[in-house]
Amino acid sequence: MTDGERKPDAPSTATQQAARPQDDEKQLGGESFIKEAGSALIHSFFTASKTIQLYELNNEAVKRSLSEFVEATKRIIRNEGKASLRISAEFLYINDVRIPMDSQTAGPYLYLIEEMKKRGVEAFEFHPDLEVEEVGSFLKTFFEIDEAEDAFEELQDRMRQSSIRNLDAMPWIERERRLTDAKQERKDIRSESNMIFFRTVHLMRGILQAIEEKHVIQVKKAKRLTQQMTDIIQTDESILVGLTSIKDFDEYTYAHSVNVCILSMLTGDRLKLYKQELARLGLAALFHDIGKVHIPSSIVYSTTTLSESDWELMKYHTFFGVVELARVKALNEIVDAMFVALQHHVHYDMNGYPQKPEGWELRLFTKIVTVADYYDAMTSSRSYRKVPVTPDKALRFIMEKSGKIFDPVIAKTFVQAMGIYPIGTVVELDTGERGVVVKQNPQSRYIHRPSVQIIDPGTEEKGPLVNLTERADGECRYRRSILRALYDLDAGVDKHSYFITE
Amino acid sequence: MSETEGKHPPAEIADEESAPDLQKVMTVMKCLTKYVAGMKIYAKNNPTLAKFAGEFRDAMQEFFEDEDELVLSIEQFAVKWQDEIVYENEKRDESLAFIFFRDGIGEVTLTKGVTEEELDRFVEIIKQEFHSTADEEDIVTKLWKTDFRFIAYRVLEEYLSGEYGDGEGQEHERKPSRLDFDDHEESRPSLEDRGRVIVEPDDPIQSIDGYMRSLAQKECQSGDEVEKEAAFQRIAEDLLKVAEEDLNDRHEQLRFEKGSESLMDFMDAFLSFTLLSHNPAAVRDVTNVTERFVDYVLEERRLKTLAGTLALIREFMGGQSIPDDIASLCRSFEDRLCDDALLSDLAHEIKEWNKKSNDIVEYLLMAGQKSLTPLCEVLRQVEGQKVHREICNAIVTIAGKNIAAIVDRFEVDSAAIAFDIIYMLSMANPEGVSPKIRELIHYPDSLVKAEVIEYLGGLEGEEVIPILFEALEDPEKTIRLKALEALERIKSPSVLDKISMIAFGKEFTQKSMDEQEAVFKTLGRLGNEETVDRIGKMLEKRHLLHFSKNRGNKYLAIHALENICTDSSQKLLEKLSKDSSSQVRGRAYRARKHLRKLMENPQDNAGKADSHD
Repeated sequence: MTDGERKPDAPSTATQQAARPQDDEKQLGGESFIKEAGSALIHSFFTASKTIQLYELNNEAVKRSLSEFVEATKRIIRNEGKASLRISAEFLYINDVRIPMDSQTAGPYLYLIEEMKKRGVEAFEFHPDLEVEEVGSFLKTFFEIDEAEDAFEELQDRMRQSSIRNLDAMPWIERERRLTDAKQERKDIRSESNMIFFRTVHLMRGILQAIEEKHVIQVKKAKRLTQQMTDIIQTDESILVGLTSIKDFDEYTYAHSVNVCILSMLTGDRLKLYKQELARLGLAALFHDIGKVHIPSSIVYSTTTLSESDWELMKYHTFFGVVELARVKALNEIVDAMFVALQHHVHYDMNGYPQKPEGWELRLFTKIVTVADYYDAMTSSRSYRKVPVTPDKALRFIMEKSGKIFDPVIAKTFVQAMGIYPIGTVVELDTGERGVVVKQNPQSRYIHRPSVQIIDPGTEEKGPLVNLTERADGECRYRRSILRALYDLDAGVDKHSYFITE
Repeated sequence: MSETEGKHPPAEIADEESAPDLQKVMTVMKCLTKYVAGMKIYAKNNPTLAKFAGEFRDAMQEFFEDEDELVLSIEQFAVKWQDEIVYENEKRDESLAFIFFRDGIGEVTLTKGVTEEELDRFVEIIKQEFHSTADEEDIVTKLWKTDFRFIAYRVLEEYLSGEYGDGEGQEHERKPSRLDFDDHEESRPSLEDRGRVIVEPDDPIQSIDGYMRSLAQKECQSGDEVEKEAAFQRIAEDLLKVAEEDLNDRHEQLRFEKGSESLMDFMDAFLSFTLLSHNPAAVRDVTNVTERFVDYVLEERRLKTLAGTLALIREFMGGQSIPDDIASLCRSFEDRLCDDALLSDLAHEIKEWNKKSNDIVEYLLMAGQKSLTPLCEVLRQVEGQKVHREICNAIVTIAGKNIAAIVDRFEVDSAAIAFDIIYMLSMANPEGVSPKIRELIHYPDSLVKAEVIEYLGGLEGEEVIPILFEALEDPEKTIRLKALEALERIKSPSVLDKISMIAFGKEFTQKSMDEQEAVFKTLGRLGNEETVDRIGKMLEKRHLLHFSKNRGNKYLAIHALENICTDSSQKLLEKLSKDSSSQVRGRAYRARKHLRKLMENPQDNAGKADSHD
């Protein structure tokens, strides 16, 4: 649902009274309001849950946290006519708007998901007349119930006994999964990610060939694919990002564009861009290097240092990109891509190329794509540099050039999203084990503690999946920590099996 | 909209088990079609539309009594359920199937539990699609961004590769164009390089984990493993923390970029590259791309973009000293954006006054002189005072003092056009009297003539006098009276002579009483000592003074005298105030009072004549 298009359910009389938006809230767009107010609701729910487990109901801290929680629900009801909190595909939704998780909100976010799941709760609906005492009574009840198969039934019974009327809990049902299946055939995010990745690579090959044969770029297909990629990135980006780490495809020329597209969208997601914006960003990123098709292969794939004149021509791919994109019939859909194609070698400090006769503004999408492009190019073997830079060095380079080549906020967000051991990195653990990083930890303090698929030392096949934040029983120390990243060629690990489906 | 009912009777096409459900699906489709059609016609709160919505929901509900999912397969002009056609319409601009199909949707699934809100939104999207323009989002994007929980769609790649739809995005042979590179052998962009960055693997870059570990080590040199871990976590948090304010700045930037006209922004940024005079190849590419933009803008015809492009090009031409060839190129863009056919087409889109008409007129105003002809033409096709006025205002703005020449070109074949002409002339206030006005004073419609006289009354100069004199001869009394009113405002001896001639002429008595009064009132407003004298003589000659006969003439005299600020006028009124008729006395008394006031303070009382009436 987009800004301004939100249509709340027909409110009841009681809801109508509460649904009078305050003037300041009216100023906020629907989705952006929900995201902001939703984050506040999740945070206050978390705080109230924690305090109520420590203190009695009459404690001042408890009262304060409960009252903040009630106010957070009412604020949403006032603006939207309703307030609900729902789990879907490991994300929290407020009124059907997905609330983004970042390093600062990850703790409360994951905590709520876990606690709701333990008790078989898929969603809560909050009513306009919700009272502080009622929430207190509900939370006490909620946390008294332990994880069990019939936890939800018990919760329902006890809520009835406690006369909790302004808060409804919905059971965890299979519907969500069935719906997801029907929607996007997303039974297996892994195969879905693979399908989208390779389809996009295939599309890029088709596009570049089409250009050579003087055909016009197919924007619609690319648009559909970036929309599907957006859905995946907003659900679980791990496989897609893992696929970008595999650099030995025969079709690397095409895969580079797709990698930059994925890495840009990942960064955009962490910057909390809306899904429409992510799709637009993806489309722009996909075509960032399209102009290279007009640079002679002898220059693009030159194994030696380019002569000054060849380098001059190489730099011209930014203009060629614009010229090529300008052929697209629906020019309005491709303007973002034209900006990116033209500007992606212009640095944050306005060095780089091309230099515009007068000062100009770098678009946000360009700043994102620049980081992703540098990262993917550095970590890939090139004609002029057979041995690529390792991801951890590339990330350090990005941090080091933050404020010069890269926008500092984008650089930080990119590193945060990639982790210091990006997905696909082969790592050596302090247990002597080796593993492949398969999922990042969203909390920046645990950036060095991702989830790792252990490599069986005997068979070299996939071993158990371990979360590096796990601690040894009764101890402060972690079970496993990363000692160092191994450059995957040296480690001799075949990463294909971790990310590519048959 | 044609549907399949009748063509494929359920009994013939389905096995016994699925037949009842097939009937239900056909009802769903029929209700959906009706609801979409209703949405196009009725306002959102219309009861008929509410009825259609209810029927559609009921049909859905009935289907979901036995089924969990309604999976509809989309073909070019048909919708199928379980291989049976449940909807068919081959008209591209009407077909529900085709609007899904053209964007590649091969399947739509509605799941049990679908809410009224989702159904309404779904139908709204379909309705919008029937009216969508090229610059709007396609149906897939609309469905995708709505994030339905119970409605899903599937895009089939093979549909996207077909020869269907509007051609956008289809792979097709491109026409030879300026954007081809065959002539690009000499391309050597002299874009100064100040930022080539090549990092080799053996460059001494520290790894990011190594860097962070070294920071942690520095912070916690003597701590144990747990303390070092805590230090690392703190450093990681500090190093990667993005301040809320910084994040908001980026969001703000994106909002700004989204809110602006991106194409314009790009052209604005890109046009400056034409100034790379030392790089002819680059300049040629930039100009070719800019030309493509102009082509697109002209093809798309979005008024905002057209106006933005025209403004941008003019600003570029005016803002700096640009080479002659670039200036000439920009002028050619300007000419194309102000092309006669374009302006005429746009002008002819105006039917009534609304936002779009306003935007069109704004653009025509920007285009200037070349818009005059289409604007004048369009006055003939529009109805309603507001739209006429707005177009006239635009014509006046563009034509300025040359308005007379413009209106003279009009063929006045309707009163509306005549009024427009008078309005434009009164707004522009050109020097002299337009020949068209001389023509309009004889226009058959009395309202037009009255308006012409009103306009002439507001003009200065002797030129208007003969025209108004002509109006005094008009067969219609209302026009003659209007002309008298207008003449009152012209302080000219010739006017006084003319009015005196009428007032004291032989044929005067043939006029109706109210016209006689009007003539004398006018005479009073214009009169002088000599006029009083003539009035006195008139009364004397007719032996009217002191006698209570022919009060009418005395009243006429009073009407004139009360506005002639002379002593003689006072004296004559004094005589009349001693008339044998009490009514004449009364009137004369009030007239004297009025005249006295007028004479004491002629400025304040100007225009307040006859106040005693």
